[in-house]
Amino acid sequence: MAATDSSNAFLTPRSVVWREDMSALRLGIAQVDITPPIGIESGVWGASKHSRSESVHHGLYVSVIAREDQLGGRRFIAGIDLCVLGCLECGTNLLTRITHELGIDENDLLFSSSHSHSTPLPCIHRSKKEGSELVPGFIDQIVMGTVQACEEAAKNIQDVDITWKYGRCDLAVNRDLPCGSEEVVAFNPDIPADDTLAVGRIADRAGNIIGTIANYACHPTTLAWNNRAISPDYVGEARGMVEASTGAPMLFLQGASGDLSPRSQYSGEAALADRHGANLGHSILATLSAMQSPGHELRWNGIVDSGAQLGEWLEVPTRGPSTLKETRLDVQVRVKEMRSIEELREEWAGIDPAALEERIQRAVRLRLGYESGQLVTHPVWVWQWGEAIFVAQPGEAYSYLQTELRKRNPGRMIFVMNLTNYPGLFYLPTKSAYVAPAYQAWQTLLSPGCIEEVVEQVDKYMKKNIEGKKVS
Amino acid sequence: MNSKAGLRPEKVLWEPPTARMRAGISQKEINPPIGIRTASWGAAKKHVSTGVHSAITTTALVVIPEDGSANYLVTVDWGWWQGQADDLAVRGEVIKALGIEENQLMLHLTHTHAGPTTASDVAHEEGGEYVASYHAKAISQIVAACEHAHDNSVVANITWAYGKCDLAVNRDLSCGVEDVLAYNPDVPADDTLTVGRICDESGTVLGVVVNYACHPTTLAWANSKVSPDFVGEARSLVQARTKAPMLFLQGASGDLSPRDGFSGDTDLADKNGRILGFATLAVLEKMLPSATRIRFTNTVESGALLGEWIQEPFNPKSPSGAIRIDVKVPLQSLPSIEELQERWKDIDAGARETRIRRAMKLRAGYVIDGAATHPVWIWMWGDAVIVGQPGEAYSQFQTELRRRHSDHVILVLNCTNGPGYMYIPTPEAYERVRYQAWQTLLATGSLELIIDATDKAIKSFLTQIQIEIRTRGHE
Repeated sequence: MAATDSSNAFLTPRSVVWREDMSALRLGIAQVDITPPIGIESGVWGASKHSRSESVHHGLYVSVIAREDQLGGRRFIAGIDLCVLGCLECGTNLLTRITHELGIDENDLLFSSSHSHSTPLPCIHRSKKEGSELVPGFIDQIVMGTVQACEEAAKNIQDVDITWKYGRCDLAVNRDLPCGSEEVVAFNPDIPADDTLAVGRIADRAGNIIGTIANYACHPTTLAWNNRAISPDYVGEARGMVEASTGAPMLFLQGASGDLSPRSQYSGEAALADRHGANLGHSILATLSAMQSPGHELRWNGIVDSGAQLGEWLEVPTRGPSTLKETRLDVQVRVKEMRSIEELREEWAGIDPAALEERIQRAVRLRLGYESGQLVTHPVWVWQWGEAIFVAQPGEAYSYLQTELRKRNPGRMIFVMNLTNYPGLFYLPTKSAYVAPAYQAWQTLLSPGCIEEVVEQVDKYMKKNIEGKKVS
Repeated sequence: MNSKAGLRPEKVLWEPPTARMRAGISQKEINPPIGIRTASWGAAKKHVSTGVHSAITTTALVVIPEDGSANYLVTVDWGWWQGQADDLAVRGEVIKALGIEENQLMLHLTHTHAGPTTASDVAHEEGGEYVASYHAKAISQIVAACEHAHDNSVVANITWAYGKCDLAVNRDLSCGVEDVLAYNPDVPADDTLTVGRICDESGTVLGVVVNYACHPTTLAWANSKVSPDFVGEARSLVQARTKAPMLFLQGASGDLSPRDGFSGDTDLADKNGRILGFATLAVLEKMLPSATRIRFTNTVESGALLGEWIQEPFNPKSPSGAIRIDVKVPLQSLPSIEELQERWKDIDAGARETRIRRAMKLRAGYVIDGAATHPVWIWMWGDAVIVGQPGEAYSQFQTELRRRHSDHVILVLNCTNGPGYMYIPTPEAYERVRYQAWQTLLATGSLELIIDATDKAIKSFLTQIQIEIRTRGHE
């Protein structure tokens, strides 16, 4: 009800249009249940005294978004309730089977694990424990479920309006805790954690929500060695809450959480994972509630004389850009001087035999194909979808990856994904973590400086290739 | 054998901010009759309500420290006092009915701009005939809520936490030579959300305190239903989950409002409420169980070397106290009615009349012999400090107090008690001749004086309490 007869009608702000980051794309979304049978070996904890799962806390899912370009070409982002893809051989096989079934190139799929530590590891090369006989079947289930979800998502492709927004969630804390001369993986109250939550709301052209994307960085380690249930950890409850509220699937993408976890963790209590999920779920719902209506921006409507002089902004329809620019960067990083397996056995000789075996197995399988001092490539996929940019890589990067990229590119909507595709499943710690020394620095095969190099290369690419936001 | 079992961090205990005291909480509906005068918006063509969007309530929280004198923190889903006579007509009666001293009560208005009028001098205007009886009913319900809270008070543990909520935006928008009240995308807004969860000794939630700064101006001149604005839906969401009353406290929101507002659409108020409600629920989920802290107990050799923090019960801090300070504040040169009429001669006659009436009522009881003092109430509950004052302070009031007292949880309340029902803007607001600077009677520099005086009082208060604690030997 702006008054055109107001004596102050001439007053206008510098910019008369405001909107959130948006994209207008052709997308489809689908979700498939991949919960394995109870009894399967589940969990990845060296301290665990059991291997066979006894129940399901929340089901495991693969959620897929398919996008289509003007020529009909399709690419996919899949988020799956897995810890990691297993060893290099198993992970590569799994991805190859999926892309082969779909008839797509390996770079057409971002396959991203949510990192729940209470799921079966899809790897057939671990030592045989109770329940491991069900793992090959689970691998088949992952392949079939992902292919099915991709095909359904492709069938569901339609014109959509996506609204992107940053929110905040304080579930994550820093987990690098100095204890004298060493660091242990536990809540550190003295270092603030990145609390950024990135959310995308996908709506059809009628304005109905058809999907949500949530990107948040926090190790799903609520449940640990005392838990005997298959669980997506906190992601399950968060997803359940958001899906109940929106009536549409939610795709969760684990952020750069190498140094982040919940404050309370290593528990056997499923209710604690649900409380963590409710924290994240409510934060996502708050962020969704704060968005403008789908496909709308705010436009200055003029002055209203009331008790005060008021200015009116009104929602009007608009459309975000449809730009699709997707690339893979192969960042050169150096392998550190690795200690021999024998030396590692000697160093860990005093610890619990099960924990020792878990560590040795991880170390052996991790270093296949890597040699000390070698220069290797760490793949990073940078996908621009309208006004959102997805930066995905296979490692467990520290939160520096996302905070630094967002700091260097203010105003840009950046989703950062750990544990996506292969190869390169190891930590990407900051230089300071090597000095500490933190677990992540001795777990990784990479030399200090690797995460900094990834940031440099991605930032350089973004600045050179991605245009700024244009508001009409 | 864990060869690293002895590893410990420097600090092995982490405690959330807390308080332990006798407390009770109660909520009552005080919906006004349809047809009551509203009159929050000069631009409205009708000034009477046509219905109730969401319940208008009063919520009373009583806290009874060891010395036995109860302090009442009471919210009402009303807008603001136009003058001292209106304030005392309600607050004075509540004080009298409860038989307490003035400083034992912080009567806080949540600042909805869609509430029934608080004015006691409008019987002659449309809808004004309902006001006196409604106010009498509201007073009896406020008193009833206070008494019910008192009668049901128990030993309670409060857990405090800061969260974030991005409902509020900056609302001082530069339009060339002048600023207007509208969303300004270029200035970030304070997004601090302060939450207190009150539990009995069994851990059952008795109530939730929420302090957030954002003008409830979603609903405006095109709305004719009474409503707590976004506070209503936020409260409903939180209460549905906690099964306990939520007490909302409007923060220092002089420069803050929702991005989407000035609307007639009650669904939009609900949408804004969901932003705050979900953000509040997120904060509640992060809290440890009542009266628990965590202790680093041991390391665990797993795939990595892990450290375990284990929950353990503890007795939250119990220091409490209450003081009032009166801050001498400078006044602007105050224009006469004739000068105001000349100033606003070109605007709509209804809007002009509203502005002039408000300007005159503001002065009564506050400007005495050309000078004024601004009252500030400071209550300490364990690790939290509650700062209430009658004005509409800019958000700098809370951001600066929180910066200076980062070791405490600071709750900051606008629209609390009186007199001094006026904006307390930053110097920049005076330079830009914003609405808030010409609405107020205070001269530039007042906000800084109030901040400094409050800061000094908090510091001296905390020192005094520490001395008392040492002397009395608790904690």
